[in-house]
Amino acid sequence: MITIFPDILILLFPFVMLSLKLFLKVSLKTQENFAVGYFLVVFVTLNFILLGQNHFYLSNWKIDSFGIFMREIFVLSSLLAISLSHNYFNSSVSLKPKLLNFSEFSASVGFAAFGGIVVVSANDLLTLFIGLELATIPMYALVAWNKRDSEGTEAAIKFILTGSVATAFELFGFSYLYGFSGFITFPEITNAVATAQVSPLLWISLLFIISGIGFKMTLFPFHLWAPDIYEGAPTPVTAILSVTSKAVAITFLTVLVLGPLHSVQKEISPFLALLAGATLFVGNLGALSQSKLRRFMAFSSISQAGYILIALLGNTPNAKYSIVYYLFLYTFSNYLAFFIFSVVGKNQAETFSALRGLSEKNKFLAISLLIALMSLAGIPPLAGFFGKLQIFTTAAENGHFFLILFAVLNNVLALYYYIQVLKSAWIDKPEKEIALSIPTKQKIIILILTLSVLLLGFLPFLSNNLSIAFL
Amino acid sequence: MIFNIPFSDILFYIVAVFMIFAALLAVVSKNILRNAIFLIATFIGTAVLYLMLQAEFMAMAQIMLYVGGVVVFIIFAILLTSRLGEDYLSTPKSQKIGALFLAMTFLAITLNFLIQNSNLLKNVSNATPADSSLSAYGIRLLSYAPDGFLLPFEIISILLFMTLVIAITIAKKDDKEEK
Repeated sequence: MITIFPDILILLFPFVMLSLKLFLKVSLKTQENFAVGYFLVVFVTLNFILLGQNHFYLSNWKIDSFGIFMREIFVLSSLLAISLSHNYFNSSVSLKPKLLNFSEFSASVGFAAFGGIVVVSANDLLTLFIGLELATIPMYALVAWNKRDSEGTEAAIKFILTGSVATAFELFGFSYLYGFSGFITFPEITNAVATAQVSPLLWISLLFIISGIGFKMTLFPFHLWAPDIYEGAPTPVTAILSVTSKAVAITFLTVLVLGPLHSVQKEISPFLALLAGATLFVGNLGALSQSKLRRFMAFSSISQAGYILIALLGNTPNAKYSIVYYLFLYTFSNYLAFFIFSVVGKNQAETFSALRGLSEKNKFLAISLLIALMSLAGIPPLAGFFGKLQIFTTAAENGHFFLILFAVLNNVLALYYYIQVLKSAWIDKPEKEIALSIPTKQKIIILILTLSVLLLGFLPFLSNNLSIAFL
Repeated sequence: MIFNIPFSDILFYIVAVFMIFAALLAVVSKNILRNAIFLIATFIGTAVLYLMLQAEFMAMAQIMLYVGGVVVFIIFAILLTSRLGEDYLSTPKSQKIGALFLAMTFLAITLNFLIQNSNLLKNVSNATPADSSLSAYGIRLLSYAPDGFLLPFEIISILLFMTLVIAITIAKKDDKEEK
């Protein structure tokens, strides 16, 4: 019974948050503490679920180990996003007006997390699609949350227009998959795909599905929306977009490619490998010439999406293992970077020059930034390195050595631009003095995240749990 | 002999030709208002096809949702947007050629599939009219058997609720007290 309990808790969360504001009229501070506490409780509950078992509720609600880990990632990401948004609701940050309507904000974050859970629990195409929409539609609104900031509104309009086209593509792809197999439930589609192998209808369907999801995951030809929207959105929303949104998209692809389409994985992997390689390269090239921090993080997360996609080329247990592992470490490193950017950008625009002189003003922040970015770049003792290592090992199983070589060479390119950021923080002298103050709560979270990034790679908690579940 | 052909076949071809023409006009016509009207004609043709397949519910949903909802919405949007209905749309030639090429590719692939699996055309479905009746739909929507749709049905209600909440939040004026 405990297996389904966290799902129900997350489903109830938005309703509780809305009633806190509507009926109980509690203060903003209480709402924030409640939301953070609620997600912490859900996260702890998730850790009590026994791994390595498959449960089905109402015949079609599937809960397996992969699902439980993905739930943990969605909940963790929502928890961190809500803590990150604390400053933005209490004062104006980086020269923009402060955000309003916290309870609706956290409700949307909760809905997006539930959407991710629906995607990972789905056992038919219809539920899968609705889950994806449930995770995407709140993002459109969240990007526009700062109504008094015209950049955010512009970004949201761009996002919703391009996003709905992508959704239409996906649905069209699904219609071909349905027409090809005659069913929308996964076991029947698995059978149909296994008996027919590759047919032209399946190729059309895959083309459209991958184009649609490629948009949401910011894969190469469909990535151009990301920089504009990451820059226009409020920083906590950018963080959610780069973690939750990407995690939902990769879950969606994993559920399809390692599920019903498993028997044609060999045939589609050259296509996926090409996409992954191109995405890596384009993300890295784009990041080289940025001067704004959120735009830079957009390109950095595009190239990270390329790395995650490489994991899909491996065999089932290892591929899921490395996707979950990488996503965990990516969540920690990415949020750490965003927390630091938000502290630095408290009283100024979030640009590279805002970071100047950070090492003199605050050693703690400068060291945390060093750890976050080196982890994203994949430097050995840090978490990011182990994630990449795991992904490359998985892809090597099926002999994608050329792609791995290409990805490793790209890492060198990535190191260059991550070091550019660190150069601003450690070497460049500040142009003008702007005071830097860290609230105690932020300091504690940054400390916890720094320690996680530093230690999770070689401490056995995460990897032991994962091996119990998958290997 | 023409008299040996069942009447339903003749009706099918009439509807099909009508739909193809309406669809072509919906794309080719340069006035956006006319495009919308021809789109309605195409959707009504689809509804007739559903009726001929004895799927009354689908036919009804098709007319209510697409003709009654979506296209009327489009027409309202066109008429309320100043001058959008008056201008003639023009598409660059390169786009037209690209679109034609894509459409032909899809047609070729679909035809190829249908020719390879020609038994699909001959197979008579063993579904009875009762399967597509309104009560059968209702029962399947709320059934939690493996082929039931309880989960998506309920999740859609959450999706709609969420969309309402965030749309109102984005559209409403902010309270003074929070500033």
